[in-house]
Parts: sequence; structure tokens; C-alpha cells
Amino acid sequence: MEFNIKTKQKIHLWPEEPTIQEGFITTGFTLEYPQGDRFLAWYRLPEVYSNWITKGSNPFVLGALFTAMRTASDLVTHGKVSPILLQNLEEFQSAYASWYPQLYNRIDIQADIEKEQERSATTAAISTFSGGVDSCFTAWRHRKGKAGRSTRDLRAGLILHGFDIPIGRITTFERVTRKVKILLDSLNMEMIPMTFNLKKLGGNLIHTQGTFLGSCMSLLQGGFVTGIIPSTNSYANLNIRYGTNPITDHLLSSETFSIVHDNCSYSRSEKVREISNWPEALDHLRVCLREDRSERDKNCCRCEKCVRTILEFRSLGLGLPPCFEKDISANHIMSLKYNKNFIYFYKEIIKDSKKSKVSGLWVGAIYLSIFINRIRQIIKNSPSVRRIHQSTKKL
Amino acid sequence: MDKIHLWPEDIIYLGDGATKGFILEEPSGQRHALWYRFPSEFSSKITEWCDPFVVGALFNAMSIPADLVVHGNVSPSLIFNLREFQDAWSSWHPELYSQVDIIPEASKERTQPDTQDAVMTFSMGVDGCFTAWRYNKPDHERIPYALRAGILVHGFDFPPQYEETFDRAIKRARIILDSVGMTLIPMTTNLRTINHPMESRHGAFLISCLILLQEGYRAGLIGSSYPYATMQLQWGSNPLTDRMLSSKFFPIIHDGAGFNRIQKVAYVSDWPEALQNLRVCIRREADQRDKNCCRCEKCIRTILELRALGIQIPPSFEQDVTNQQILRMRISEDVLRSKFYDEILEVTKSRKASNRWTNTLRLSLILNKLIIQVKKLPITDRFRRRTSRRQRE
Repeated sequence: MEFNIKTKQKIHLWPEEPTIQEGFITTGFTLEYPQGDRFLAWYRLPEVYSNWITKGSNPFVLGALFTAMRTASDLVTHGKVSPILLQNLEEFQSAYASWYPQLYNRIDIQADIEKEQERSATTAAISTFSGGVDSCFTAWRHRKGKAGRSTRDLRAGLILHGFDIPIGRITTFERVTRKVKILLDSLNMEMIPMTFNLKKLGGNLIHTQGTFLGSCMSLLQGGFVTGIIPSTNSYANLNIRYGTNPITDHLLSSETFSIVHDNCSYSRSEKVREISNWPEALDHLRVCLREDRSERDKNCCRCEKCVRTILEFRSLGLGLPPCFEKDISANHIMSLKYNKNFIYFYKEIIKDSKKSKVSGLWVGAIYLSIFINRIRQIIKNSPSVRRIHQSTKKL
Repeated sequence: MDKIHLWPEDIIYLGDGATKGFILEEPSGQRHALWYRFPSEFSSKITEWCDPFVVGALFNAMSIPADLVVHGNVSPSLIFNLREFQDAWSSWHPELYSQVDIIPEASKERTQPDTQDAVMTFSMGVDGCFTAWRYNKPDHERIPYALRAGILVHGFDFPPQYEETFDRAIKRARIILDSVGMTLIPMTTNLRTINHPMESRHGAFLISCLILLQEGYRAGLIGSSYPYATMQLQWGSNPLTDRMLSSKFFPIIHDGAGFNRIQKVAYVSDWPEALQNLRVCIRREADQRDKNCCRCEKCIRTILELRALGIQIPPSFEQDVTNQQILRMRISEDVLRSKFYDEILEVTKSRKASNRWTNTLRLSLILNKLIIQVKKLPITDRFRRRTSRRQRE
């Protein structure tokens, strides 16, 4: 039984010098694969934030980590990396290699210089901000001092281009930033737009998203000491193998820059209830995961996430907020397709509607939708269907 | 909300021993004197802060529920983390635990101790031995601290009245830790009197003992019970909530969750002192708990793990197990879910060491799964309730 890392091949990571062009600063790193192929990973943001960009390679290590784990290659970093981050990443790798042993290997990360970055003389925190329910709740709660002893000095929201909105969709991203700016301005927070191409490194984004978010936030270590990732699931409905989770997110921290998984104790409906007190959020909330990504600046009111959010507002007796242009019918609810991880959310909606004494045909439609999706899951997971699926795939 | 008051007590020296403790006054006025007893040579490592007492009393406050008024100093970073700790446990068991406020008389951060030494909880089991060896093995990995001491807690699985049993356990634990240059710290506590059920509370209980020594150490470690792959988050000690019992200058590290149990057994197999004194048994009569019974599920499991790895059964297990015992053992649903036995079968298969006992184990697993399913049937449940009612009558 092997315990020490036995990877033989190496990926080299070379930090690139930042360049400034047309009001934007671009920084990044080159990955040199064992076969000699090279990939240039970059992050681009307005030049005004150039003072906050770290000189260390922590963000680059985070960005390249899953690629190295996937290809079972040691990561040789030709830059300065935090020793605490390197220790934490050993545990981080242990978790993912245990959860997905067929996908990821434990690798060794070497750095030319192992040294902590200077701690910024600030208490400021930054949060990733997509304009959805989770990030709005985090921003609202910390800015309004509603987090009690857990309140952080949250000063900026990082909106990322290259995640759900493809890099090529520039106008879509501009429309999104206009909405996000309204939201963040109303809380007196800075909006930092950042475009990055880490997604092109490949891999399953459901697993890699935490490291990518951590990478983008720790790039701005010069201006902040904490990076906040708003939680997706609550403790009661925890999916620990998801790319961002309260077990592994904090392992993306260094001594001088912490990554925090925030607000895991709140269910999605509790979050919706709280942000309903924020008028700008009701106008500009963005949750849509429609197929056509060029339109993702607006809610389609038909995809699963839009429908679910509309139902969450409805179950709390809050009606249809202006950010959703169209309402939904029982037919839309019954035609929803989702996997077993989402059933919890719909059960919560039913529970809330009972509490708020709001009812209608739509509640029955949710029951039916849960039933249909459970049956669909059972059929999908049955061995014979799986076999057919696999042989079709092979063909 | 009701209030619980917590008053720290001064350290008391008696002979070679020292006692540090606190008084807990419940809203009903009932008072509990809770204490930790240890050799006086370690008294310089005892913290003046009330952090260990807050961690030790927290579940009690959450179950009443009552705000915890602390008449002493508590690290603000610990209070900050305990908010999240409470969030998790009250989400998982809303019927048992509620959020409470911690109200300290003073809240000041400690200064960072000038050491890189760490302390761990050490019960002489597989998980503890793995962590001790991992940090002290010559070809160790990248490690943040020098693991220098292990606490053997009396009052957890060793009931406090069985002092001789505990003394025997101390001797064996000392042999293990001495061999890697670690110090054994025997500690007796009565914290268990306010902590039921232990399934969810044992992590906080053990970590409270670690924090008591925070003046002399830089970090506290607790060996993981379950690996990430089959993680049971609502188990008292887990990688999510253990670290929420950290303060700024005393992090709590849940160690070894990246390894499954059979990997841990294999890892410590080149540490003869650990193998010869391994103690995994939890079923033996309380006065015999310093030794393995070789009959309970955990003993059988460990013997089979050693057998699967081709390691000779060490003297810490006085008897080997028979196929009949494998067939007759009862395995809990939690243990089945944790796939410990699947790992054993996988390793024997990969080593091409399958034998009659592996077939017996397969049969035993099927039987145990069946028993669990039958127990879950409504009719079985009704029958069990009726029988227990009759017995009571």
C-alpha cells in the first residue's frame, strides 16, 4: 500500500509579468505540461486595481491544482508560494482524492520560494458576487451588520467573466455588470469585474469552481485579507463533494489571506426572505441558468433555477419580484427536470408555503414534480438503463 | 433566554497531581463542579483563559438552551468560531440543540506561544497511532507542527472509578509514545457528567482537554474516525466542526481523514511499539478496557485488517478470530456504511489473499445487512416496542 506521492511527471508553472493595455491589467501564468505543451492562463481586470494584485504565486497554484491532480503530475512552481497554503492543499487533495479516486491523484507541489506574502494593512474582505441569491444574501447580511459577531468588513464584490458567461460574450457580461453595479452601489460596495480563462484548463467545473473562485480572490491579496465564497447548500442539506463546501474551502487559505465559506447555516428560502428587504435585489437578482448563455443577464423565468426561485418568493407570500418578467404556471412546475439533490429545495418550498399559509394548484404541482423526478431518477439509475446509456455512448 | 453561569476555579495542587476546573450553575440553580486532573509537571501548560471550559460546557448550554455567561476571559476568535459550530449542530439536530450566546466577562486574544509543539488526543487506537506516527515517522510528509505530546483521557471510555485499569493503560500508552519521543499526559476529567449523548459531543469533550493545555502548545490534533470518502458529518468529531473549536493561536486539526482505516493500519504496521500495544476495544468490561477483548466487532475488524494486509497478529490481540466469530458478529449500520469491511475485502482481493475467512466475511456482511433491513420493518419495530413495554410492566 503506497502512502508517499509517487507521481513521476511534472507540470511547470511560470508566473507571467503583468501587462497594462487600454485601461486593463492582465496577469497570469504559463503551464508547461509533461509533454511540453504550454497553456497561458490569464486574469484581466481594470487597471485601477493593479496595486492590489499579489506578487506571489498562490492564486496560480490554486488555478492549476486540479489540472495537476487530474494528470497525476507534480506541480513545480517557479515563484513564491505560502507554506501554509501548501500544507492546506495537502489536506485539500486528500479530500478530493478520497471522494473521486478515479479522477484525482495526490500530487506534490514544489515552489522556488516558500514564503508568506505580507499581510495587507486592512481588515477588508472581498466576496465573489454573481448577483444570485447566495451572493446577495452574503453582501446584504455583512453590509447591514446582520451577521452579529460573524460580521466581516466586506468592501467589494468580484464579478467573474469566464464562468457562467463565456469569455466571448462581452456585451452580455457588460449588461450583467450594470445590474451588479446597481446592487453593490446600493450597499456602498466596490464592484470588481474580472475576466479569466481558467475554465479552458478543462476538468469538471463542479469540482474545480472552488479553487477557481479562491484563485481569483487571492489574486487581489494586496487589497484584502479575506475572500468570501457564499454557500450554495446549508448544513442541513450539505453536499460535501461539491466544488465549494465548508470542509475544503478554508483549505485554500494562506496565513495572510483566508478563504471563508459563508452562511452555510441558512437555507435558500431563509436567504430569499432576507433579501426581499433589499429593493434593488428584487429588481436585479440574477439566477438564470438557461441554455443560451448570451442571454444570461436576464432571468428566463423558465429554467429550473428561475422557476425554483419564483416558487421560493411565492411560498413566502412575497409574490413575483420585478427581476422576473413572467410568472410560471403549474405546467411549468410539472415539466421541471432535476436530480435528487434538488428535491430538498422543493420540499422546503412546500414547508414554507404551509408556514406562510399560501396555497394553490402550484403546491400540488410541486408534489407531483417531486414524484415524477424521483421516478425519473430510479429509472435513470436502474442497471439496465445504465447499460443502454453506456453502450449508446460507446457507439 | 435562561442563563448558565461558568466560574473558573484556581488550580489546586495535591501531591504529584494538579486539578483545574470550573463551576457550572444551571438556570435551575443546580451546580456542577467540573474538573480536569493531571500530573503537576504539566501545570505550566495550563491556560488561564476559560476557552476549554466554554468548549466543554457548550453542548450542555445548547441543549437546555441557555446563554453561557463566562466569568473569565474567552478568546474572541473562539467565540467567533463557536457561532458557526452552533449553526452546524443546531441545523443537524434542531430537536436537541439551539443557538445560545456566549457572554464573557472579558474577551481578549491570547499571545502566540513561542513554540511549534503540538499536542494530540491519544487513546492508543488505530487513528491516534496513525497521527502520532505520521508526524514522527522519519520520512514524514510536509507537517506544520512538531507533535510532542499525547493526552490519554480518563473519564471518556475509561470510567473514572477504574483507576487501576487506567494505570495499566498509561504504562502501555507510554511505551508507544516514548518510542517516538512524545510525552504522555494522563488526564482525568468528569466532563462526561454533563455531556450526554456522547455521539455528538465527544469531539468537543476531547478538544476541551486539548485546549486546557494551550499555554504550552501551538496546536491540538485529533485523529479522524472516518475518512472523507465515507464521512459521517454528524459524528461528534468530524473535519467540519472540529476546526470550529479553534482559536486564533490554538488551531484544532482533524487529522488523517484522507486515509481509510486499513491504510492507517498498514501505515502503522512498521511501528512495532504501536502494534504491540494497540487498543481498539470498546466493549470489554470497564475494568479490562486497557486490553482488547478480541471478540467485539471493533477488535474483530482490526484483526481482519491485519490479516488482510498479511501482518502477523500482534500480542495486543491475545487471540485470533474464528470463522464462526466472523459470522456471528453484529455490525452496526454506521459501520457498514463506512465500508471498513469492503476495504478489507478489496485489499485481500488485490493481494490475491482471498481465503475461507473472506467468504465468511462476505456472508456475515449479507446477514448483517439483512438484519438491519428486518429491524427497520414497521412490524419489527412494533414487536420490539411491545416486548419492551411488557418487560417494563
